[in-house]
Amino acid sequence: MARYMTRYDNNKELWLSFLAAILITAVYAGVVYWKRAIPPAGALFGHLLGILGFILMLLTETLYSIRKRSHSARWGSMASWLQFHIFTGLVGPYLVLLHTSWKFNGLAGAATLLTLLIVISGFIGRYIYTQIPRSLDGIEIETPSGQFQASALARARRLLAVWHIIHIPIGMALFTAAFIHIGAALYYATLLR
Amino acid sequence: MKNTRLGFFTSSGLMAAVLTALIVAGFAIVKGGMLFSPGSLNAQTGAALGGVSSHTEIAGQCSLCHAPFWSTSSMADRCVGCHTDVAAQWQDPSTLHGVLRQNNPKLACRNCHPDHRGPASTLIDLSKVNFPHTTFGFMLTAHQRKTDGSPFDCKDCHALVYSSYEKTTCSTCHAKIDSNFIKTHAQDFGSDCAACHDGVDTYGHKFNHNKVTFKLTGKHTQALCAQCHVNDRKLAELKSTPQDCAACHRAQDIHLGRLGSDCGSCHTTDGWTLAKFDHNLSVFKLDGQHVSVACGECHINHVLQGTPTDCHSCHALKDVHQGRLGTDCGSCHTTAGWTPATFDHNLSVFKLTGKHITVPCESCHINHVLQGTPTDCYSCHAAQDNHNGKLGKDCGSCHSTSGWSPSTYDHNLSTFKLTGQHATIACSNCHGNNVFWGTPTDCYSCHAAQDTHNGQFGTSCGTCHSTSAWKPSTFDHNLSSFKLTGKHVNVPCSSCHINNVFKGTSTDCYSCHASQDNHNGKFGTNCGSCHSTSGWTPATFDHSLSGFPLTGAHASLNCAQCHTNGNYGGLSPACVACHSEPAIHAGMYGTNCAQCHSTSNWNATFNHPGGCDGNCANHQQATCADCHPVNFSTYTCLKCHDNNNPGN
Repeated sequence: MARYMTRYDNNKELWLSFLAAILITAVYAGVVYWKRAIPPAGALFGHLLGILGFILMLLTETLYSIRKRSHSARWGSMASWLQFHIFTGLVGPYLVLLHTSWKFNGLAGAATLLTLLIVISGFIGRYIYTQIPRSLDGIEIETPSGQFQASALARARRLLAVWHIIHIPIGMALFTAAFIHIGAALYYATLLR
Repeated sequence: MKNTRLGFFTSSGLMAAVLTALIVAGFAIVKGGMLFSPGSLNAQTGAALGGVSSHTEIAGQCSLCHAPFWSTSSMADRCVGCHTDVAAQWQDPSTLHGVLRQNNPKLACRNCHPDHRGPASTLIDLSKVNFPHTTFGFMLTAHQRKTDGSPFDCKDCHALVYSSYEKTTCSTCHAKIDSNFIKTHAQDFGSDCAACHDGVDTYGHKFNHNKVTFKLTGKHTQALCAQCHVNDRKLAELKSTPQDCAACHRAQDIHLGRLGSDCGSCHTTDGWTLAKFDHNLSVFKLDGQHVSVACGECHINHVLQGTPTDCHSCHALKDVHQGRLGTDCGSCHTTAGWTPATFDHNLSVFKLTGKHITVPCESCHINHVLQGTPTDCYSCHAAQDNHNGKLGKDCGSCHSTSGWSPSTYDHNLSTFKLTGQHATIACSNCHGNNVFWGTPTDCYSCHAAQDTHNGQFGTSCGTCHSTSAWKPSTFDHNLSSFKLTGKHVNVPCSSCHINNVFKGTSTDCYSCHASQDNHNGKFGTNCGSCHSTSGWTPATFDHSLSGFPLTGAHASLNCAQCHTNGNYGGLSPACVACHSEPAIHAGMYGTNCAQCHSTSNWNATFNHPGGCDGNCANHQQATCADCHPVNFSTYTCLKCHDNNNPGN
């Protein structure tokens, strides 16, 4: 326990995400003060928020999955990639949220809703994940507590599998909606002449 | 799950993606583009355009307004597809849209007219666009933020419509900043703010007056605008405010215009006092002791203009000469002081030369009396006259100021010029006893004793003699009553003037020529009536001057034919004295030949007495001899007629 606790107890990625959010909020507030208006989604700053947020979310979706399949420590530890996944999975949606200009109608609104869902889902998933040690190596299986740990690990792994079945489709639905949204924006509003 | 596949491509994931796509497609089929709408379209209704009366009626038909990025038409093109009135305005520069379109071709409809903001939102929002307000002649540079820091809204100025504004808008708003200023400013310049403040060149409180030609300095900086710009309402009027001092300050001129209108030549904008006047720019330059004299000593009662510049106007009371030397003190004195005075005596009518230069002033100017000192020599030198006044009082005619001697006398300046031997003789020859004045100038006064003519020719020797010598003398006999001509010219004087007696010599010919008279006095004593002085011969005698003028055949006769034996006197003028009656007359006609004959010829003009029985007409052609062949006492008709019967 002590071993994996040392790996996650300081919640570095959460602190970094919070710091990034503070920074982004400061910039956003500055623009609001400067323009005396909520930055519209279709203007320069709004677009910047949306594009940046979407890229971060896309990285959230793809990079962690790619690393998970590579089976090589050469690209960094899985834990580090998860930390990155959580960081981008928080900061990206936050940027997207600011991109909405606080309007949630239409497909864009639906995409925002899906974003919100997947963030919540992500938090749940992360909570489940932290309950699972990386392997059985650290479990003192001979002790009663060790046995309990082993049964808990099995339970958690089952739970994680179920969570995956929910988390991934939400993400896919979100990205489908997001791509359509981007396509529609490109179609209807590219260089609004 | 195969390891080669990415984690998110799970079957459930792919199903979710497909499902999402299907839902979106379904919505799109049912609701059109509504799914992609960023907000509801405006429901504001107006005149029907393109078959609808509000944007909300075309909700979902995105492509009616939105053009895909590959389309050649723009959204604005689609706007005016329905809003044809705006398309028309684009072509008319007098309209709002026309001005905007032609000055800002990149400006799109949507920049000012957004939609998708809900059914009740405004269709005109200029806050999201950098509206080219300058295009309409009013720059918004100074109207970005209100005093509270909030940005300007169009409605702050354009409360009702954007195409115009209320004139009171400016003053209402600006009164909140400084009501007193706006109040007085409006009183000074009127309430039409935009008449001056065009927003481009505001000339507001930030206006730097020193950027125009009339810079504000000194007390001008404290002046109110309207003190100079009275009733100026337009920029051109402000610019044309006169800049000369007097235009504003004439009423304050304590000099009452006497010093002209350029106050600045003495005063500065720092105040009326501490005026600086460069007196040397005036016609009366200050130098010497004039520099330190107080202004008021010359300029009584502040009257500056017209102060006389002649010395005496101020210095008359100080004139120790009591006016005797005139009023131009400066001709002797300088402004450095009354003394030392310089007097160039040569500028006076009496120039000082020779020994006069070193003579003390008092020698001539007794008792400091300078003016009126006589300039004639004698006034000073009378006591020194060695001539005892005999040569008059003009010493200078002989003497110079170099000294009494040597003296020069040009006798030729007198009425008696010295020529010939007069030039070399001693003065005393004429001027005995040093008496020069009044010496007579006639010759005889000196030369009477030398007159060899014993006074016969009067006292004017110069008539014949010159001053060169007595001889040769020249006598122009032609100036006498007896002019010498012909042979008289060469005759020696003594031939006529016996014993040097000239006066009273007779001028008649006979007094000299009596002995030469070949006519023995028969023609009288006036030889000149026939003879000239050229010689005795040829003599001319005008016989007509005698009682018998020579006419006709008489003129060509020799004198001796009538005057026989040299007898010229007492000859009878009667014809018969020379011509006896011819025999042909038969003694019928007497001796007065001239009754019928002229001196031209003997042909007679005879008025034939009666005898032709009144039929003389036929005898006009007949000669005297035709009828009178023998003499005139007998006649015959037979020369022409057959008988002597006059009846036939």
